[in-house]
Amino acid sequence: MRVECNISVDCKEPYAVIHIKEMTQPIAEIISMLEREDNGSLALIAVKERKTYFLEPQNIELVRTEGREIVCYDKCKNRYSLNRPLYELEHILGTEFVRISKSAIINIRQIHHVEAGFNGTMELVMKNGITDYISRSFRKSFKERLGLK
Amino acid sequence: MKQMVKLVIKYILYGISWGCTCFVIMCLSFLIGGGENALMPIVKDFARQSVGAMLVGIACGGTAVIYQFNRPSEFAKVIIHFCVGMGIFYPTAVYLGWIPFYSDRPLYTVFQFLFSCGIFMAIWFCFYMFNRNEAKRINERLRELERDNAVNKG
Repeated sequence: MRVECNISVDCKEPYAVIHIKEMTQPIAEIISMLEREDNGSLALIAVKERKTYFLEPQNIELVRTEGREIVCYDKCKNRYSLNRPLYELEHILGTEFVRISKSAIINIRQIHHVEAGFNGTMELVMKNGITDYISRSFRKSFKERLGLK
Repeated sequence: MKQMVKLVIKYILYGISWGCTCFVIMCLSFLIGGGENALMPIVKDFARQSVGAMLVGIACGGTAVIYQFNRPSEFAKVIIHFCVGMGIFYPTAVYLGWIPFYSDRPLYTVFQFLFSCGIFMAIWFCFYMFNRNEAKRINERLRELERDNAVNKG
């Protein structure tokens, strides 16, 4: 891709114009990166029904592995595919998110409640109604994040 | 894969320690309750009895490793844990004489089996009560955080 960069003292606010034939994943990531640079917030690139969306982390309730896919659910229970590994997402999503098992990360502010399972597990219900389990090995760190011993 | 093997080994050792602890407690209660004579049958057959206790410990405690895996479903995990636990505990207990077995008294055998299932379920119930208390604490904390958040926004 040909890249043009104009550096000028008259430029008050940096902006970029990208001329493309169609939206592709790398371009979407570049846009997300530029937006992040601009306003300090991060938007995740997510795909739903072949359309690319930019999701603000505060709108994401849960990220988890479903089969071979990494997916996330928003407040309206919409399901999106993500193309980053969970460990990377855990790092990117920041302090509002906590890992509850090897396969799931949740938004701590979007938990509705937790329920005790009969088999020693703990079920977590998100505000959008999606449920998942807090694995025993992550329970300690989960409680610590909530400020519980 | 390496981590999974480590986890399974950890749970096997955890099961052995559970089995041995229960075995020692059982022997102690025999000693206190019936004196040295009550303990003699176990002492004479110590090797088999202790191996049996370890085996039951692995079957009941060690198989809890299944809850660490993502698959199968939670219900299936409970069923597998219960079946493996009971499937090993009951024959071992009968073989080692922990539970008396009378071939001519089938009703008694059924009762003993149900009693063993009851013990298994009682242990589960204890875990459930502990978890319920934990869940209550977590939910209270979540409500607290929500209130703080609402105050900060307001």
